[in-house]
Amino acid sequence: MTTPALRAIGLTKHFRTPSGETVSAVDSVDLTIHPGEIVAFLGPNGAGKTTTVDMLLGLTAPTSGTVEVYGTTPHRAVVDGRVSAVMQTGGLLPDVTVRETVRAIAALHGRPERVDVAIERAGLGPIAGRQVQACSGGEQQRLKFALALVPDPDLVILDEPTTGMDAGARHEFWETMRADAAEGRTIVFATHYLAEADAFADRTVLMARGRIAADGPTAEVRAAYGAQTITFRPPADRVGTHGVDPGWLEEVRRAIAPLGITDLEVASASLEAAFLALTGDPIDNPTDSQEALR
Amino acid sequence: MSTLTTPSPDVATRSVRRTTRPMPVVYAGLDLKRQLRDKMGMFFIVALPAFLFFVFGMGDDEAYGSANVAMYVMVSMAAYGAVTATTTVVGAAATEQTMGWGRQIALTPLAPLAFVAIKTGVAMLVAAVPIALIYAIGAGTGSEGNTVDWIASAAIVWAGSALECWSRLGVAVAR
Repeated sequence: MTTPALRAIGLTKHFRTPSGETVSAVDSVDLTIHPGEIVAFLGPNGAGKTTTVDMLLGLTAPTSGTVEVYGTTPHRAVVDGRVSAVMQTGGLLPDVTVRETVRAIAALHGRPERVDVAIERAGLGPIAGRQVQACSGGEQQRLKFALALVPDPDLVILDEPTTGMDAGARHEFWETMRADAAEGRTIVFATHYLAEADAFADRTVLMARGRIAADGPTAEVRAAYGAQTITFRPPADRVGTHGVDPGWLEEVRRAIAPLGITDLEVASASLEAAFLALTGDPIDNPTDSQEALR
Repeated sequence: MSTLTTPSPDVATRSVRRTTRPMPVVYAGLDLKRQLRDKMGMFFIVALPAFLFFVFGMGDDEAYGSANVAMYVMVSMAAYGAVTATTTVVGAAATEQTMGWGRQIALTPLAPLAFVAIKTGVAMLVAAVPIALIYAIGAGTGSEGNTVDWIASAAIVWAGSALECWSRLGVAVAR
């Protein structure tokens, strides 16, 4: 049995608001990640992802529970260069160049020979001489990624790494990550894009309101989440200005009940759907947002 | 799923770690370069005190204690430049913290106290710039005093700016 890359037991973090209330950001999270795994941490904003990441890195002390990174404390793992991260809350100095930023962090790691490798791996070669303040949001994220590569860590934790990137930059970033993962690095990334988890992670941990709601192979989590819905249009003579005829709807409910369908949702058409219907495009396809989830 | 159980050979080589040590001097060098490049900052640290020295006392040979008035104003302006230097450098440290750079550094092996030492070192080196320059101008334009005046005043001004540096740094790190 190898030492897990990461093991958290009963991880809990409470914050006290100025009015004296206790808010529980992370609530008894148990998590074990083995070397070589690629794990997505999926959840809406405010689910406790960033707080969890901070505790995994030893930047925030948990209220209760324990974290071990490669069998030691997170701080020890950071000092040994075994774990590094792209933090959402991490910042860069605006008035230095990309290369100088990497050199500064490499100096603090005592790894000056890693400067060129990190710059090249993050695809920053062409802009190495540029001032950080002249870089786009996506380029700054790539620079943070380069900084995370400097210690040549066994485990990389990425908190919303593609923030500020357009679709092209996003794609490029994940290609870089894929190349890195192929080398056997353990990767944990937090995201609120289901598509990113789906395309990249073997395993998805779904977080909601500070708890783990689901944890398993990405495909299984997706199935549990219900990635597909069915929409159908009622016949025109059953629809009046006040919506679908309730009597007819009741008939539909009774008719589909034997098929195991437990719920029927009637949603008002959005302005967009109405527009599309009036302009003649069929809306028998899943909506864009559902498509984006695939 | 094979990645779950079979770590690639690269992982094995990677876990055999070289013992590395932080190189604070290299970091300080980069930080110093950054500060010296800041034209606005350096104007207030070097050019303004030098200009005020020129206006208020350069070459004024009236006796003042064991020295002359030119020497007196020279020391004052050097102190002004030096304190501006430490305040600027250490004030920038506070800004770095709020921008999240401190969190990047927290993910390196550098100890927090070593960071304080680096910032102090950089601030003291920057503070030495206006002192050296204004003393050089003074020496060339008629500031006069005995040897002890020159050495002791420079040392006191330089050391005094460190006090300002630490008090500010306390504020910066406490944030």
